[in-house]
Amino acid sequence: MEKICTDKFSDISILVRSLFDLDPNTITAYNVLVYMLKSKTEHFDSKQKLALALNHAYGMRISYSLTGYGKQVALDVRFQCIRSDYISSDSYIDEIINVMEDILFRPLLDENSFEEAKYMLKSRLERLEEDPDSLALSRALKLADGDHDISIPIHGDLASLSALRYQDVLDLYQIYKNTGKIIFYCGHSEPRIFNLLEKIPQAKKIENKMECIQRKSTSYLVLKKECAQTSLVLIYATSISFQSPLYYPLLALNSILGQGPVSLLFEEVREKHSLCYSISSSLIRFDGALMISVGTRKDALDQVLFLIHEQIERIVHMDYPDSLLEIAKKDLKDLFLRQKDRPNSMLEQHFLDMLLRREESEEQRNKAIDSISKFLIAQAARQLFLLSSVVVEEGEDV
Amino acid sequence: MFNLAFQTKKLKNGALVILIQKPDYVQSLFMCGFGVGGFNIKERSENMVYENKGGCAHYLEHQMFRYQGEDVTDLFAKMQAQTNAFTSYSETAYYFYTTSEIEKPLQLLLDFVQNLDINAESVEKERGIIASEFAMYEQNPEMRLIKELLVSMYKNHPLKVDILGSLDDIESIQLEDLASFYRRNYDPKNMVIVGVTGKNLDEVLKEIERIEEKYPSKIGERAVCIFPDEPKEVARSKYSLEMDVVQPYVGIAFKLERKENIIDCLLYDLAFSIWLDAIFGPSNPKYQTWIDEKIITQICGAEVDFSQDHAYLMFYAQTEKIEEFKKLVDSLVQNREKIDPIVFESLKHQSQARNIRLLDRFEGLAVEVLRAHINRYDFLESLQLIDSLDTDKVFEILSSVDFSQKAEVMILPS
Repeated sequence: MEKICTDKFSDISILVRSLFDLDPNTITAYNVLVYMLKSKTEHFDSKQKLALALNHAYGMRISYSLTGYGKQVALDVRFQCIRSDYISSDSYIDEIINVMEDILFRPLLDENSFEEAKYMLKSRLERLEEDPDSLALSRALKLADGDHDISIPIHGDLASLSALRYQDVLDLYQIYKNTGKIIFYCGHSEPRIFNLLEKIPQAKKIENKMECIQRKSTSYLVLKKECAQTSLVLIYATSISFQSPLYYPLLALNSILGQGPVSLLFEEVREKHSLCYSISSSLIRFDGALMISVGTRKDALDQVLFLIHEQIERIVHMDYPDSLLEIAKKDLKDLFLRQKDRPNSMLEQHFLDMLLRREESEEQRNKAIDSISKFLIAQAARQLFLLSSVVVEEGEDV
Repeated sequence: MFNLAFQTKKLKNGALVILIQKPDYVQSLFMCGFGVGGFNIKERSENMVYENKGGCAHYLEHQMFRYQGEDVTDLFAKMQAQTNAFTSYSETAYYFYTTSEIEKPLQLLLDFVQNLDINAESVEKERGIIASEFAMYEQNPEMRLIKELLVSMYKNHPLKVDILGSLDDIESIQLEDLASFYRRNYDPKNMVIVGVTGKNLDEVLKEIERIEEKYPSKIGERAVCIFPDEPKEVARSKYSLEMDVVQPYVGIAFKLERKENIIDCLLYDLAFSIWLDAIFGPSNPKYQTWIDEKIITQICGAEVDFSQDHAYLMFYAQTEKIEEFKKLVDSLVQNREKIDPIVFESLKHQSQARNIRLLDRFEGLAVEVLRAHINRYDFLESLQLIDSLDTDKVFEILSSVDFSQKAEVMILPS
């Protein structure tokens, strides 16, 4: 168990993480399992009983989620509870422990829960399809490389869902139960909670499994939908892994290109040409990919595409103000500093350092950031290869 | 006890400074807010009445990010600070957060909000950006549903106008509209500066006082919003539209009587929120039945808003069972019962925890403190209101409200 004991926060944040192989045949079942795990337990055998217990324990929060890490998926259980010295109730910690124990060791996975989870997931997947931005993103990831992990939808898919049986989920739960967990704790020291967490079988080792998506060919797709504006998503291969000397330059490249409001895409596409409200780039680091997304007018699409291409070329040719590089470096340092005020970010950083076997100090990291140059960023930019381009534009469905 | 300290001071120019110290935190957040927003369509200032175009406050917020010909966001970024802003119906606020020194970004924040640097070209450029923002919200079915519910409820009240204005407003707003709006509303007398930081508050306050010395108030009295008379009846009782959605969305809103007193508004808000948590969430054993019968999905909720100029309650869901959902809402509203004391106690604990958690959220805390000042109530005292409620009081409040004015909106698959 990894502990960060501090009195800075009102909440105690706990993360219990399990890592599994990301597999298109099981990801939908994991989504159903996650819904079932959070629904009820042997002792709290209805939504009402669980809700009452959580509210009574001063708004204790439990959340389950699935996050992709390249070829793996993390199934997370997160607990958040107010530190005990802020609560004037003698039974408070008992209440917390009771709920945590039941959630962790005695979930109630019955058939009703299974049917409900399937129904809820079906609604969610249908909703993702109806949102033009989500639709463009899911299609772009699929189109980027159908054989790569990036194409596996982390929320599952409707076809697998309709074929899913109750027993499949129970079998998956057995695997989950027997998998060693990685446990992180951040907040006021609570020895009784430590004792409980120590009862959980811990993962012996964790391994990073990632493969950068390959440069193959570019695929294009245009869909029509009744919507107010056009959504565009572009996926690029970066061919840069965490171990690459170009990793930090890639982070700076993303910052300069479109991570935030001080970036080339924001400045050129939004501020100078007024073509959109929202445009951004982001890294899918564990798949070696970079994504650009924008919502714009249908008649401005060609201009937007031209400007996006132009900004990447500017980075390749080091044709942008030095101040942008300096801001990107400051932003990167700031990002790590800001994590110190956010328990979940601290826990996530801790996990990444473990997974990637990173042992660099803050000083070493800052030194690495300081050494980023325009030349190195240009090298990273030259490696960008457009894999997929998906447009969901205003019009009648076809 | 909660790892924080407050300091408040009214400056000579009328600006109010509220500083909150959060020891051990790396970052600082400073917010500069004004009591103007989407509601400011008709205003009275110095015995004159002004009619603004819808969306003026929001358009101006977009335009404020220029100072001495430069983009304010870039200037903040060079100081290792990130900046943002928001416009609500009754507030507009600008803020930055940083893990670095605060003096320079603080100076910049106070300078750029107190100096208007716009021209016809900059106003024109912003038009396409705001139109795109409008389109983004317009295609979101949940946001569209809420917007149409407000339009259904209100005939005259500015709640019926989108904070961004209409597309016609966005197309027609001109430089002078924004400049005159700025002159009336962006004055130190109407400004609240909220800081949340780990730094020494006395020093921060001195710095703010120093900067504000060069910004005397230029207005005699603060501009006030004029709210037109609003009939008790809803503007339209039924409305439906089509969108490219898989399942229908349905919303049911009740137009309620506003409360004159701000503390009553807060109390009614809180009592209704607890009631909604008790009856329209997993605390209600029937909630499971509604899921089993597919009357509700993950997209469902309820919200309440009591203020001195309006009050409403709304329920919404994405569901195939539209009629069943309508019946469900009707039965919840008609059969108001006392909350079970066990459920009430647990929800009270939850509410207390929410208040504690708020104190760790820099942005949320600053917004709530700003809102409290703009609406003239004491933020810390408002956190204690939960202690004045019990099941009887909640029932008394629920029983005193007239739910006869109802509006329904449906979004159907096209």
